[in-house]
Amino acid sequence: MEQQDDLQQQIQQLQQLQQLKQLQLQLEQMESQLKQNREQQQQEKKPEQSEQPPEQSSEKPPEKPPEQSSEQQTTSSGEADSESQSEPPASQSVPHEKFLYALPKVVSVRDAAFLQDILRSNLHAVKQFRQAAQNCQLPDIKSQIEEAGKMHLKHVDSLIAFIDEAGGKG
Amino acid sequence: MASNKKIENPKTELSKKAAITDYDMIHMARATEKMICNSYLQAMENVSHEQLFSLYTVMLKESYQQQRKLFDLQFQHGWCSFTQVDEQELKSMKEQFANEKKSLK
Repeated sequence: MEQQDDLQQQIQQLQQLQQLKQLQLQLEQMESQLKQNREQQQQEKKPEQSEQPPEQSSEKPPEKPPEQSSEQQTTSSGEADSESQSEPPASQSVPHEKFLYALPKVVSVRDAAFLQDILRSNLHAVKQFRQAAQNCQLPDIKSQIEEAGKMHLKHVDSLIAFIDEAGGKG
Repeated sequence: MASNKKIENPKTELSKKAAITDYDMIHMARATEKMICNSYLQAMENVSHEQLFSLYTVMLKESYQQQRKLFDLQFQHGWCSFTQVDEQELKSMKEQFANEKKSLK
């Protein structure tokens, strides 16, 4: 009896492995099709993707990524199909292989745009305040506006130092 | 009513020869400070880099302090005034919001 149980388990495992291979083949086909579709810039997916029967082939896929196999063992073949359709775009949109818990210490494109805006307006303020201080009559206002101009110049310096130090680095 | 009095300093007289006087200068400087503070705030809300965020925080604070000093100067020269609100109005406002807060529970 024990031997029979062991045999049955082995058979089940083999069947699961076969299913996995088929699913991986399907995945690869779908990915290639998706790439082709993108190249052709067709927004609608072809209906062949879901209807194509899996190829019963003896050839083994060259590599077996461990994450995929562990996911697919738990899910039935139908669910795996639906997952696999959404997988390829997701894997392409996430460049980081490890999960990030905090905001990345990266100067983003958006940050760069803001930086540019801020630097420009600071420089503009420096020019403006210098001009204003020259034309001021009252000494207290003149000194205050000069101080403000110096402060903005300092801000420009510190922003440029930041860009030098951490610009673009991850 | 003594509470509705305007609070202001005597106005500093400026020569009327110049087209742009100190009054305009300080107003312009304050407007620039406010604009820059606004852009710091916008950038802070969207920044990813932590160091840049703290840099923005420091610069925002300094800019607001500078703006405050300019505001002080404006007041010293009598170019802006404040009117104290009526005490009764404040009381009724406080009551209204106290009641609204009670109704939350």
